[in-house]
Amino acid sequence: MIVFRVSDVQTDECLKSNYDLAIFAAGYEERCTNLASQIDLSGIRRSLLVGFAEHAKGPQRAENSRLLQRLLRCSEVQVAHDDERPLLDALRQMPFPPGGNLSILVDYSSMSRSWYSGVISFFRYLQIQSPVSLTFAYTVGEHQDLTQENWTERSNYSVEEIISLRGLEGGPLRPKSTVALLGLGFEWLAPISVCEQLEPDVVYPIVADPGAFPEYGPFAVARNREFLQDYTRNDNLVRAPIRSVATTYRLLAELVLPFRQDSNIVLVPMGPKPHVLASILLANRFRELSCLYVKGARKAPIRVRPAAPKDIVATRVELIPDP
Amino acid sequence: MISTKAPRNLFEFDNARYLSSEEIVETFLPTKAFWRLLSAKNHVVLGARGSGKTAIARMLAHPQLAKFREPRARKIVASKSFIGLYVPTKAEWIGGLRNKPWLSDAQKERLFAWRMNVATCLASLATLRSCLDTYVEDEIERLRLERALASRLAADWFPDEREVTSLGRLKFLLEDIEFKKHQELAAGYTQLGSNGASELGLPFHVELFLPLRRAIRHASEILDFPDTTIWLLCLDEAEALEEFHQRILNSYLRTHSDNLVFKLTTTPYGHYTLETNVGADLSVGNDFEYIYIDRDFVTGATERGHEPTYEARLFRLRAKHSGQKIKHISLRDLLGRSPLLSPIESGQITREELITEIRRSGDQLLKRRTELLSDSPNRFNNEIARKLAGIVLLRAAVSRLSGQEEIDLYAGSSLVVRCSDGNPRRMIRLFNKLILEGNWTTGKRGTRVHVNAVSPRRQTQLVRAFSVSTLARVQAEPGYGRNLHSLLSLIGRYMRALLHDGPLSTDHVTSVVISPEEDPEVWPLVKAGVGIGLLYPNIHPKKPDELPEAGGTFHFAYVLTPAFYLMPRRGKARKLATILEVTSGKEAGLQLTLQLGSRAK
Repeated sequence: MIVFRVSDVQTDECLKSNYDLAIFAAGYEERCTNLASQIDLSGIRRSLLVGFAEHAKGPQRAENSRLLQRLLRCSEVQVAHDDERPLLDALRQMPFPPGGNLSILVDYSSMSRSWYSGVISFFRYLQIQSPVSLTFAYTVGEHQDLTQENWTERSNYSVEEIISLRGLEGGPLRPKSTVALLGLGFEWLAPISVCEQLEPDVVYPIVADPGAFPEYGPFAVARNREFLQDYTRNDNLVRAPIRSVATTYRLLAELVLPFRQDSNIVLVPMGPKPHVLASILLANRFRELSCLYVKGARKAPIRVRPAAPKDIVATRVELIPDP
Repeated sequence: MISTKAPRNLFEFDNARYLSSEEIVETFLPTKAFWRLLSAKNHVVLGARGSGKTAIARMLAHPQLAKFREPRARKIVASKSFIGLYVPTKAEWIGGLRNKPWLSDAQKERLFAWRMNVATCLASLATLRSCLDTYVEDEIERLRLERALASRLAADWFPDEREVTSLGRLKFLLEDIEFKKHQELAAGYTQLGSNGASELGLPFHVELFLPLRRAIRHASEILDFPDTTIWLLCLDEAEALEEFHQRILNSYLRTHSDNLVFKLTTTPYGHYTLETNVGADLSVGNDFEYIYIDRDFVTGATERGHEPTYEARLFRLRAKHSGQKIKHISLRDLLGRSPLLSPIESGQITREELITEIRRSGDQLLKRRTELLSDSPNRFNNEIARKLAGIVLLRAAVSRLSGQEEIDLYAGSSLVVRCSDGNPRRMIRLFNKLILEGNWTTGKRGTRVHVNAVSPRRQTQLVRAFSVSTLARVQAEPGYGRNLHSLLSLIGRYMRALLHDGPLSTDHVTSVVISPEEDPEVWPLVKAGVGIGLLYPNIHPKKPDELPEAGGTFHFAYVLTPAFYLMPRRGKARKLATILEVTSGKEAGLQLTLQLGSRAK
């Protein structure tokens, strides 16, 4: 299968469509239950609920799990944040009809990126001859600690490891230049760490702006000021909206196209999930691209609640059989 | 070939990887280590991040060496005595090996060998292209030989492909097979839950480096290389490999001895193991030699200047190739003399002022020695004034610091050079920041550019900001960053307190004594600090390539000294245990949480 088209979907359309399978995740944030609470569940033929295996008994995490199990009437499959194999095992058990267009919903608001990347890989390599429509839904979140001081103290972020997302390793080493597209979040250490490890020749920093709220874009820029001054040349900063994965996907594609023939192109999304999704989709579209995952640790989870019940970023990804 | 591109400001590029092949060659300064590497021995080059390993590895490769105008290099190229290949083991490449933790060791080894075989074959194509261009003048003959070579290599690597007649086509096929391999693995992993078995690209599923060795044999025959030609495989950034991968490479070094030798570059302590998979450890001296390059040149002669130092030559060489504006300036033009390192020469302090200050705040020993030498001005200058004048200036300036008050002592060409610790990348980053501050004026005809020296206050602001930021960024190091940052901060604060709060003394502390037995949790952090060039081991002069494995004395990088208002000069050492005891007593709550990441080995 190839990624044929990426388009934005209206929230109402996302909530009222019919799906052969819907995948939800029980995470640590309140917002992970939002979509399941808003959607018309009668349009979903089958549900799959996954939840983080780590700290599964934390109060918010347990509450989210209870609520989702009750709403979806299914039990939870526990999955480690960096090992999506139980999720893939569960998908392999699903009876997907060989004919007819499949329609899948993925609520990735609280998913680890290796999970939703794994879901895309699964359907990309699924042996069926008909198109698959994947609808990704993300509940926009509101951070509750968003000042420089609060964020630094609460986050106390440290980088643990930088690895490739499975299936998105890119190509062989080219001795020429490396171009890195770095999605910036609120953790200033992460992009510095990536640049010190990768030593890219050209860096395009990408910030979510407009972000979830008007002040989030400038906040991300302010948090990364040192990185932007010292690791990027000229004015390479790319601003991409959080609420349109299709726009971000297109912007990223335009950035990488001139480098595809000769350079190593590395996507390192560290910003909000819709940008991560756009990067993963692009790496699925162009095989030369590698998509890296910065594994980090925080002292305490970041508190995020839904910005508004219907503030959902929905994206439709059409996979078609490889011609 | 003459480049038609306009010259760029090469001070903006602090990594050899950012430079074009021509720029690498034009700005390369060969050191002793470089010439040592042109030999038929396996070597592991150890150097902190930014120490010039990549520049060395790239210059050893034939495409660069063939363009180097240095007479010794020209002779080597002409005689075909060494032919180098450059293989970067970039983090993104390693990331694709580390993301399958469930593979068995045998499967991991198989995948590593496959990918390394493809990567080295790909690297060989750039070298073979360079060899054809260098040694075959006649264009028709060159095409004929390329065709013969491509056809022979394709028969080995892609037996099902018909009519492969160019190295370009082989490059495409090698890239394509790697893409397909990843896709096959991903398909098996998602659909079957399989664990990495894949038979695609079977000719590379052979012994490590066998496809490359066969390529070398074909090339030697077709291009008529002498039997004595040695092929150098320069594997850059081996610190990114895991211990597991290095063991596989070690096994190869232990068991093979032919015309293919290895030049591995890694950080100090980044050659994680001497173990092999063949039952006998790698033997230093027999199977390979270390070359430690962090002190590959001697610094310090700029101010007196007969022979230009490495740093001054580096600056001039970059300036020369950076366009008209920067072309003619020197470090001294831009930065002037250092008030802190040459305080008496630059008129910052007189002998009398120094003696007054010693009488006022010196310790008993210093006061006594000063009195004893009161009639011997030369001895006083050599034994006391030279060591102490800068410290007295610094103490006075820091004691006046308050609110808006700033100091202006971290300035001058020799200080900037000193604060880069002889690390080329650090040096170029600092030079670039200062060049951007230069006050430029153009001559009447607009051809000659003059620069007014950057003010000492502005230099100090930039050097201090660079120092503070270098320390802060340690936190970004994966795995150990937070803990190493805590350790370095603690040591720096201790040294600052000793210098500024205690009595004036010639016993200025800038080094730490560390023992793995006494400080087992700190020892991995110290090794990591050496790896990124923020701690430097005291090396035995008779064993310049041997890093201390059982503890030793480590000096605080000069780049960190402005952050703590320290003197960038070598001083005495203190045991880490003493520092920890004193500091933790003074600063309640400052604790090192030593949960070490796997990389800090």
